[in-house]
Amino acid sequence: MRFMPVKNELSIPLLKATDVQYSRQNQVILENINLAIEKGQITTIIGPNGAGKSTLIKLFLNILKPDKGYIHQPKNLKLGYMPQHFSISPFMPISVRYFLNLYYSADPFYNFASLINFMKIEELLLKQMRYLSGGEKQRVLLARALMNKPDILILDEPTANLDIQGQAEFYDWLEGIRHEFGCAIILVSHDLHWVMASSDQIICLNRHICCFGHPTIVRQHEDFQNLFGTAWQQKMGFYEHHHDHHHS
Amino acid sequence: MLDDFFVRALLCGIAISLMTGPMGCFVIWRRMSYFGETLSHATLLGIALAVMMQQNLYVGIGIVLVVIVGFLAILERLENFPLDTILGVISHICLAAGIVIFSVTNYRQYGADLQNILFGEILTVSWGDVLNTAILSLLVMVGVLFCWKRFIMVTLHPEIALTSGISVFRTNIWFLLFLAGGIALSVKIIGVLLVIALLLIPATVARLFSSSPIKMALMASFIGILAVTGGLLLTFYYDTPAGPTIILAAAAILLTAVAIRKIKGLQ
Repeated sequence: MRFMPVKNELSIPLLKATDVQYSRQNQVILENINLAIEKGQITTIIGPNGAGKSTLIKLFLNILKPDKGYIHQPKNLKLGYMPQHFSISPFMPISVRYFLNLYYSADPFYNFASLINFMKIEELLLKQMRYLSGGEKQRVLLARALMNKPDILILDEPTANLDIQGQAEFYDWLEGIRHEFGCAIILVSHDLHWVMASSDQIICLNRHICCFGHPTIVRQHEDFQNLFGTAWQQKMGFYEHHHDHHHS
Repeated sequence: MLDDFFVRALLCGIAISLMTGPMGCFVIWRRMSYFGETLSHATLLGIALAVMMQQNLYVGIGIVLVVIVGFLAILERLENFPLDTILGVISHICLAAGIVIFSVTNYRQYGADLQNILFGEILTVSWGDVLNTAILSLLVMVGVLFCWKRFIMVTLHPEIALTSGISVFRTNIWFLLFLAGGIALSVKIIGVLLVIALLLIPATVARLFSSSPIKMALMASFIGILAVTGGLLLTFYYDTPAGPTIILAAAAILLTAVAIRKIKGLQ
């Protein structure tokens, strides 16, 4: 059995990976993966290209199944996914509202309007998806991921095309989302050092877990102020790696 | 009034158009036009085999299509596969094999019958054909309607669809089966070589004037009906082959639509 249903939700992590291994075409993509995600926790996964970050995400989402080891989740765990790549065929005319309605499972207690309001996409509802700007598309995809009130929000390289300023703004959004919706957040980032300052844990991945820890808040140094602007200093954290091994 | 054969042809054409409207939209959205062409060429092989073994035509077509769909569905699962090359190879092998088998087993009427298969024989359909086409077309449409949301979600982003609890593999199989069924139906009307055009052109026109997937599907059906009606009228008066003329009527509608959009200054 690959998925162990977790009975007691109170003291047990939302999601836990135990000795997970995943290979494809005789190449090991992930091995010895052991980690846990607690309720409301922000986890940033960083690593170089080809480290297996997207694969790990897909294992969490049950899109892929581990070859060895287990992914433990409570049976009714709700996951919200924002993929790295999302392109709409220029041939499909589809409005933002139609798109969101596809993933909407009618819940009489759920306030769809307040989500739209929170993500500031009210004026985008009638706009065609293919005409959205990068930032608008991101807000719509985030709204979609939040639609079923997920326990864990999983984002695959959401800041890939953003500059430092854009990144900091995005992290501000995410903090607001965690505050508003109370979900845990798993964030995959391509940046090896600059991470979300309010991350509870950083996991450095390169086929296996190289190191993990916490970010340090950027100091009030003039250089940092010039880089980020004063307003965003608290949003960006610096992660110092502490590997005890080398990679060939 | 109008001759019987014309009314039958028109009814058949309308029944087909109602179905090729939505299916054509999906073929465009999923970039499966080459795939569709492979299926239609495989239909020729199915007909040839059915004639050779003296079985019911639909059985022959059905078996070949199921084999091809199964084979291609498995191929689709493999990433980094040069799908267009594989499709091109299979597509034309089927076409060539079908023509050769047909000529060998049907040498007396080979020429005339082959023309009917390649370009359709909408003008010689019987009332039984009209009924069959209408019923089967309705079945495909009901199926597509039932699976509409799933089809759209898988088309947009298969992984997000997976996280929403949809079985992408099963959805794709159903889609391929509906597509194969739709193509098999349309081959009798418009012929093996031009089926794909009847799927693509009305949907392309509809795309220019729609703001939602449903509107595009409905409009594509409507444009198909216009093309069939216009094409059949032209055939009636100018004695041209029906299938190709219908496609030319569709092309004329497309040119007009593009011109209208250019004049209105829209994208």
